Formats: sequence, structure tokens, C-alpha cells
Amino acid sequence: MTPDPQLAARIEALERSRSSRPAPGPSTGRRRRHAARKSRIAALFLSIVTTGSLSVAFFFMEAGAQSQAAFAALPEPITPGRATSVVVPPVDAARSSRGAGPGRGESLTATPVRVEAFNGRRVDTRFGPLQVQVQVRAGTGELVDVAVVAFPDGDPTSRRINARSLPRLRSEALAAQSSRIDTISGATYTSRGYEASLQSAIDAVRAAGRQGGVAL
Amino acid sequence: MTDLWWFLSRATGIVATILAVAALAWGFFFSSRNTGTRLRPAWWLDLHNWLGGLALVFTAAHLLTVLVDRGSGIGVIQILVPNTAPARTWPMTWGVIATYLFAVVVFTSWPRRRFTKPVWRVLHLTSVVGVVLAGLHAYQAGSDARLLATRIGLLVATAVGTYALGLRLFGSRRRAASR
Repeated sequence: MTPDPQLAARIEALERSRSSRPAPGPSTGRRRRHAARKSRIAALFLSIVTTGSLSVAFFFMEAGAQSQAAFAALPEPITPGRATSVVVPPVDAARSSRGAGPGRGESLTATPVRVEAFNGRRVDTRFGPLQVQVQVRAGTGELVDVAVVAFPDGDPTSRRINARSLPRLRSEALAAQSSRIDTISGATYTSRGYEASLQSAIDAVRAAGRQGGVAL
Repeated sequence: MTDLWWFLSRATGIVATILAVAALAWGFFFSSRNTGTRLRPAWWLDLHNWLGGLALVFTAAHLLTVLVDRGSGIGVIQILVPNTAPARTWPMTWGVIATYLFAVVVFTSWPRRRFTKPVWRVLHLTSVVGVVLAGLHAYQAGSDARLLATRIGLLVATAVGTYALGLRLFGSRRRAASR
């Protein structure tokens, strides 16, 4: 059978073009040029930066979640101006009557206490407003608890600082039964605002004639 | 900074998912000839290859950080063998399978000429399953799955992937019809 001369010519041309084409891959001895070299670098850079940024964001998010747990441990403010029954934890109940931890023979069970609430002044600190509420035992005026009505919580740093400082300031106020509390390092503005608002709340207690147990 | 590895594992997982979706989209844009005129097709192919490799690298980093993170409760066995995770077993299984599929796609891309075109195409298209499983893994097992930002991100990734896949499917049909 005679081969088609046209087909034979085409095959020959194809083979010639194949043999003249350089072999692909590293055997050429030259580095392959990347068409998207700059975009490759940009993608790598963006990926690393995004990983770093997300890790930092997660750090602050977790700090915020821990803050929420700390805030949840603080007492809720109640409606001021009328006597309300609240359950005071045993240690706080003992502190509120003695200014220290529970003594021998003191009840360690949570007891309902009839309290009245007095809001302090809203103090504008550098990072936002801060306002506390004192809850005093109805009749005696003894400081039972200090709730926080407002505090700077607009940014993660403030939330973290306040989560650490507000429970400590509350403990100090209950132990001292007054607004004479130490400034917490790293929370100076919060401490000052807390102290000022607490003092104005105690003034309100005094004005209402219920200063009995509060050291004024 | 005891949670550093946890934060890094979450971050690398998210970045790996984004890179995988981007590689998929780039591949579909390239294969559907929907690359415009401003950039050469070679640019799209090169970046597609790079994004795929980078997705695998970040997946490896994700696995490594999960291993190092003591709180994860995940060991070598759980990373290598599907359905062995003590908690969130199925979501973890999706992640393990997705990792294997990414590895298959990337490692068969280099010796592409050793495979016949249909075989290579099937191997390469398993990346679609891999990306879907990775998204499912992120949605069901991710520590940030409940965040609105994560859900929006996954929704956007799904939209981009679906758009690119649609472009590829309908574009090739249209080309076949016009021939």
C-alpha cells in the first residue's frame, strides 16, 4: 500500500518541529520563569500577614471572653430607691457585717438580705463613663455590695483591664466599708473613677439618713 | 501565651481554606478561558499552581499547630486516620479526607505528563470535593464557626467557588455547542 505523500510530509514536519523544540523541565539547565512571580510573592505575604493578624485577633477575642466571665461574677445593679431582697454570697455577707472573712460560728450559707440601692455619680474617665451602685442593708445602712452600672467597655483593652480591676475594687470597698480604696496598678483611671462614683453613692446613702454601718 | 498554638491553628486553618477556594476559582477561570485580556493565561495558571501549593503548605501548618496544641486532644493517629477523633468525629473526618485530597491534587500536578488526560482530570477535579469537605470541616469543627464573620466568609467562599464552577461548566458547554 502506497502511503499518502501529503500525510507523510505532515508527519515529517511535525517530527522536525518536535526535535527542534527544547526539551521541557530542568534538563534545559535554565530556571523556569514564573509568569506570576510578583503575584506569588504577594499571595505568600498576604497569607502570612493574615495568619498573624488572625492570631492576634483571636488573642484579644479570648481575652474578651474571659472578661465576660469575670463580669458575670459581679452583682447586677438593682432598681434604686426601694428595698429589694438579694441573696448575698456567704463570704460577702460575713464581710459586709465584719469587714473581714467569715468568723467562727458564722453562717456559711447564702442568705437573703433586704437591701436598698443608691447610684453613684457617673464619672467620665479617660476611656469612658464609670458609675457604681451601692447596695446597703435596709434599715442599718450597712454596705452589702457594690454593683457597676456602667464602665468603659468599648475596646478589648478596656474590657480586659476592667475585668481584672472591677472585682478587686468591689472586694476592697466591701472590706473597707467606704470609698477609701487603693488604686490598682494598671487600672488607675478605673480606680479613680470607681472611687469617685462610690463616694458619691455613699453620700447619697448618708443624705437618705441610712449611714449606720457605712464608714463615712 | 499558652493558647498561642490554638490561635495559630485556627488562623492557619482559615487561611488554608481561603487559599484552597482561591486556587479552585483560579483554576476554573483558567480552564474556562475566562481570564480576560489584561493578564496572560500563563499568569493565571502559574498563580493557580502556586495557590494550590500554598493551600497545602498552610494545611500542613494547620495540622502541625493542632498537634502541638495540647488542648486540641488530637494526635498523629487522629490526623492520619479518618474517623478516629474522640470528639466531633465526622467534622474531623472531613478535614482528614480534605487534606489527603489536597495532597493528591498537588502531588499529581507536578508529574502531570505521566498521567493520561482523563486520569489526570479526575485526580485534579477531586480538589472540588476537597474544598467542599474543608468548608464543611471549618463550619462544623471550627472554633470560630459560630462567629458571624466566619459564616459570612464561608458564604462568600461558597459563592465564589460556585460561580467559578458554573462558569467552567456552562462555558465549556457553550464552547462545545458552538463547535
